Order: sequence, then structure tokens, then C-alpha cells
Amino acid sequence: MSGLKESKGDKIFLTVNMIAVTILMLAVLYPLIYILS
Amino acid sequence: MFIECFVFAFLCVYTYLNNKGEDLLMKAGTTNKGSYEKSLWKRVVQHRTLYLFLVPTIIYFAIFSYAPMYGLQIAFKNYNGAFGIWGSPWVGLKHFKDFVGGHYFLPIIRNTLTISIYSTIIGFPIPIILALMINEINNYKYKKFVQTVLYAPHFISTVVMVGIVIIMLSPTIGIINYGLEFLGLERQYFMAQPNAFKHIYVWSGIWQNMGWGAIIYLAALSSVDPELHEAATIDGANRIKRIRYINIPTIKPTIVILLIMSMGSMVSVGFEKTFLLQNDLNLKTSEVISTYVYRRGLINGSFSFSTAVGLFNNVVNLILLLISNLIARNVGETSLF
Repeated sequence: MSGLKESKGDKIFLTVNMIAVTILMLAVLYPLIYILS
Repeated sequence: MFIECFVFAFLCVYTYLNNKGEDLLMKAGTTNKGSYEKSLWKRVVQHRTLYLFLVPTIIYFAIFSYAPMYGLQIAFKNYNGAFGIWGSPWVGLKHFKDFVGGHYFLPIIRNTLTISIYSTIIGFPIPIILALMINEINNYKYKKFVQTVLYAPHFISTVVMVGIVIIMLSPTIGIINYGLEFLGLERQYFMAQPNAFKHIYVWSGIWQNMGWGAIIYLAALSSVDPELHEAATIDGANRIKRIRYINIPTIKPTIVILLIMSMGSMVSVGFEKTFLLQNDLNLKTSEVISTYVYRRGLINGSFSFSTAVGLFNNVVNLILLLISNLIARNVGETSLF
């Protein structure tokens, strides 16, 4: 798969996906840190 | 935790043996499953190491699920500690009639169904979406980090998790109320609002279990043949199309199996979390079958009545499981049995 070039749409999708997963991760992590700190 | 591990082991063994069976049938050039199924014992002997994985599960269920079933008879008796389970007098369906005819029956059933349907509708697709999202992350280390963070809340005990929820929703120190205040809204005491209970219950459950729930789908997604993706990419399919036409069909049997299993607990709302989140102010919407059984059975000492309620609950669950399994078998190709 590495030899195949990502299209512009795919790059946008990957960026949006990465941001969404990061937000989700922070939403899960925040209460834990809030309690521990 | 114990059960989940062994159910997972069971699914692995089952899937492996099913595939093995199909391979053998294909090699033999026959579609006659009957002759293959006759050799069940031979297969058990042949794959005895794999079947050994099932032994702890079988022992667990035998000791904690099947052995206590002899006590179910007290649902049809007026249990008296002095006479014991066998010596107490039979009363037939009296306790069932009392439960169904009681004024608390409808509110309890309504609360239980509301919470469990809400949990299924919202909580079931989220791990699937999450697994699909995690699967699309290209950076291996970041992917593993995200997975670890998302699994973490699952290992927190229910008591601690409820403590976190209460603090987060606190009208004085809760982050949610800081947010409301920031937006110019009034602070709310969510734990005292009957209408907020189902949302608190469902979304805290999603927060705690979505990462853990995604594991099984990620495992299923790992079995996708990379050549399919390569071929689809060459044919011009973008990521979304590859998810739709390759990834989702691959995990479809897993989705169906887990959906059927979740139907089997449709009329069950976990006792521990409900009980811990419950207070006198939200009791109107937080009283479910499991907390009612506890209140009547252990606090009021009506052991027979609470056993009857629990049995009623489980029979309804079993019926729902059988119906959903039948529908899945008729509509698609996947079913539990």
C-alpha cells in the first residue's frame, strides 16, 4: 500500500479522522486526569 | 473481565474450528455437512488443545451459573429460612402475579427498557465507528497510544467511575457546570434531575466501555486481506468506499453476533452502577428491575418474590435473544445457533 499515492480526498479524510480520534481521546483522558490531579 | 476473556477464547476456537471445517469440506469436494458433523467427537479429540481453553469457562459457568439454579424453585415457593429451600411450601405463580399486578411493575419495566434500549441504540454503534476510525490511523505508535488511552477507563471500578461522574457533574466543582456558566447558562444539579438519569447512565457507560468494546472489531478488522484494499485503491476507491465495501462487510458477522448477545440482556440494566447513581431525587427514573430485586429481596427479606422477579427478567431476556437470533438467521447468514 505504501507504493500507492494517497489522493487529496484521502489526505483530508485522514486529517479529519486523526483530529476526531484525538478529541475523543482527550475527552476520555480529561476526567481521569481531573480526578488524579 | 474473566468471562469476557473466556468468551473471546471461545469465539476464537469456534471461528477457527468453523473455518477448519469448511476447509476440510472444500478439500473433500463435498457440501454434505451432515457427515462432517457426525465426526464432532473426532474433531474434539483432534483439537483437544484448543478445547482446553474452554474448560475454565465451562467450570466457571457450571459453578456460578448452573449450580445455583436449583435455588430458582423458591420463586414458586414461600421461602422460609427455617424450612430451607426444599422444605418451604409451594405457592405456584403467586409471586409472578404479585409482581405483574403491582403498581410498581409498569414504571420499573419502563425505566429498565428505556435505559437498555437507549444504551443499545447509542452504545452499540459507537465502538464499531471507533474501531473503524482507529483502524484508519496510519501512525502505528499513535494508534497504540490512542488504543491504550481509550481502554483505560474500562479498568476503573464502577465505584470510582461513579465518583468521577458525580464530581464532573457537581453543581459547585463540576467541569460541566463550569462550561454551562461559561456559556451564560445556569448551573444545574444533574444528579437530582430524574430526566437526566438515563443520559448520565448511558453516556458514562459509553465513556467507560467504548474503547474496550472496539477491541473485538479491531481484531476482526485485522483479518482484512490487504490485497483487497490494494485492488480497491487501484480501481479508484477512496478511503470511505473501502471502509464501506471492505471493512464493514468484514466485521458484519461480528456485529451481528454481538448484537444478538446484547439483545439477550435487553431487559437487564446493571445493578451496581444504577444503585450507585441512584438517590431519592432521581428514584422515579432510576428504579430498574435489578435495584428493585435488591430492595425487595435483601432489604425487605422477600427472597421468593425477588427470585420470581429475577426469573421473569431472565426469561424475557432469553425470549428476546431467541427472537433476535431467529431474525438474524433468516435475514442474514450469521447467527449464534
